[in-house]
Amino acid sequence: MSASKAPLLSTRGLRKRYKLRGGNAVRQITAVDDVSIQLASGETLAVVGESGCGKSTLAKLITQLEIPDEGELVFDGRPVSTRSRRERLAFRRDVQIVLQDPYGSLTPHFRVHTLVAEPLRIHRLATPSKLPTRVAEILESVGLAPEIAGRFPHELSGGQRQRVSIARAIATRPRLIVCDEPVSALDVSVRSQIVNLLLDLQRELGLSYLFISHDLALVDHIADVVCVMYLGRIVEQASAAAFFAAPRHPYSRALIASSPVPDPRRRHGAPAVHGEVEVGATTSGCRFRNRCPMALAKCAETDPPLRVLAADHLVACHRADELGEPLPFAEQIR
Amino acid sequence: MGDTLVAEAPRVLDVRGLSIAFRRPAGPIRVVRDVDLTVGHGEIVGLVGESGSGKSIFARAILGTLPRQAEVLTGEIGFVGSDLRHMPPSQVRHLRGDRMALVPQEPMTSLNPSLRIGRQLTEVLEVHRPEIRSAARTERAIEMLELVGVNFPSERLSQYPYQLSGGLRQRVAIAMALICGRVELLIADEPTTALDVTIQAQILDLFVRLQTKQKMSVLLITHDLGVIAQTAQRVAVMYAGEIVEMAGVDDLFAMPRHPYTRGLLDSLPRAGGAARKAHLPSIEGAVPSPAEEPRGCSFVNRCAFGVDLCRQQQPQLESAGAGRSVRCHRWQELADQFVRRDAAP
Repeated sequence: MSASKAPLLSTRGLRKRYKLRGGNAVRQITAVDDVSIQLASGETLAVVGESGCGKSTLAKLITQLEIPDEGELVFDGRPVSTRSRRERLAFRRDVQIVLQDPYGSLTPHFRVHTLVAEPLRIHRLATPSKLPTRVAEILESVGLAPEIAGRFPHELSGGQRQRVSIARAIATRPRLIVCDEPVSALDVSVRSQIVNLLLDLQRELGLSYLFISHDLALVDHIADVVCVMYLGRIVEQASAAAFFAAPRHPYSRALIASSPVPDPRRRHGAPAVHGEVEVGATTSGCRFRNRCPMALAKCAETDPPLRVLAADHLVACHRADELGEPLPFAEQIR
Repeated sequence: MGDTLVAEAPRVLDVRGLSIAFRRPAGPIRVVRDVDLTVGHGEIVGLVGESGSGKSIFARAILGTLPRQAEVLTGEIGFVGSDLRHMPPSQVRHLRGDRMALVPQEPMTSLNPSLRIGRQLTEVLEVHRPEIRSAARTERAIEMLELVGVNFPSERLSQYPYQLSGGLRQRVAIAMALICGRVELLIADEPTTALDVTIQAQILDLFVRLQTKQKMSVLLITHDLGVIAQTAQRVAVMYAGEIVEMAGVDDLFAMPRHPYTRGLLDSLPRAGGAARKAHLPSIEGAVPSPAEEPRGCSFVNRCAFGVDLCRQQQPQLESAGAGRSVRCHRWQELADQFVRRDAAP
């Protein structure tokens, strides 16, 4: 969102619909609905939201694992859809992904060497004779000893596996890595090691991250820009500093108020919101209104558009101006 | 927090010196080592540990549902005055679901996918409360669903688990655990790990309400320190099969005594702009494999404060003030350094 740098990645009105079969009725749900984001080079954009909010679908659209039904994806100044075959291959080299579960995302019968060498081979980034040295270098840059190359994924710890996933991602020298909950499956004591590694790699290689997470304390630590999604829509988008100083959407506030703060002196009272995310439940008006403590009649009638509330701060809520000054997130969690 | 009060309350669970091993051709591997743990009446005790710390196996030993390859080597499992370890399995089975119950992590796998919710709930009553007649069973099932905050309870009875959301399934699992009305100990093993944060907050609130209103005793097993801070009165920290620290929740978070506890608390990202993108403190290395039982302290290889003594001699769990204990040779020397910088009053 910082206007100073030209965005590395931007999307305009991305939309993706899926058919949902329930019994004998076929419903259509819009998993990602009119999503426009911008990510500057070397920055981290965090996408926050609960299951069903479309954050993983957004990750698939950005990595071109899914093709959007509508909207445009612009990478490095050029629309991805108009690229030639060769240019698309280059796109795949420039944009990589790290997934949540390092147990499920590494082919179990490949040794680490094969796993890390695979992207190098596909993109012809190393001759066969240079492969072992290159793999060793990449392993070193993610904090793994070269002898790990001979092991199978099942012989590694969770943290080591996630390092291998990151090694695969950086092997092609990408410019953007989509991280889909990259530390959620890891043990607490290992989590911060991987977070530190991602921060180091960003600094050293000038990487941009699209970072999908539900952990708001972590997002506050690593993100430059925050997007909150609810049922396919962006409901709030702001610089991390502005967002965490004063979240403006009732849903953002509910997410913050629900985060289990690791301090027994700050226990939550009653739950911040009732009910659950209901995919496909609302067809008109604001999608959060069924759970929103501030909903009015007009929230059922008109869908609030994402509007500019302040510089670098967009909110989709009719009543965002009426919300009082919230407690900054840091005050709540510290 | 009132540690002394809690300690005087009648104990629902009183585990002493419990060791559990997996049988392996190369010899038994001890995955739970010499664990003492009590849960008082109407108390929520948190058991924190990472994967492989032995926390789930510990829970299964209490419930009498250890896998075939595992066996209890030593120790006692006191449950409301009787020793479960020396009780015939048939009797333990009778207690399970009646006076103690499990709330598992993923209710999709613990609920029977082919049975309607109503059937699953009433089955518990058929087994444990045969004196209740059929119509009254259904009524009780509806009451329980209401109690745990399931909307449209009577309509839910005819639904299947797949028709419910994760949060609702977890509420049904809790209703199933409570339906006999005689449950004294609820063992919740990562009950909110699979849930979204707003739903997690609702389920944790439910546990706290059950504890305060119904005087339920809960052993809450989790890896999430935030969940512990929000719900528990006392906390046991488990590492590599051992309890390394035990304390009242306020004391543990304000003044951790064990280097591992401190490392865990420090590694949590602090919200706040100044430190954004700075390195997080972390515990180097990984949890040791249970096969390599150390001679000295099990944490020494990852500990920033380890000395020769720690490598040579295993520390014992020793008292460290009112209601707390710690397994560390150096806790007294380190105590002053271990006040969290942001926790000073």
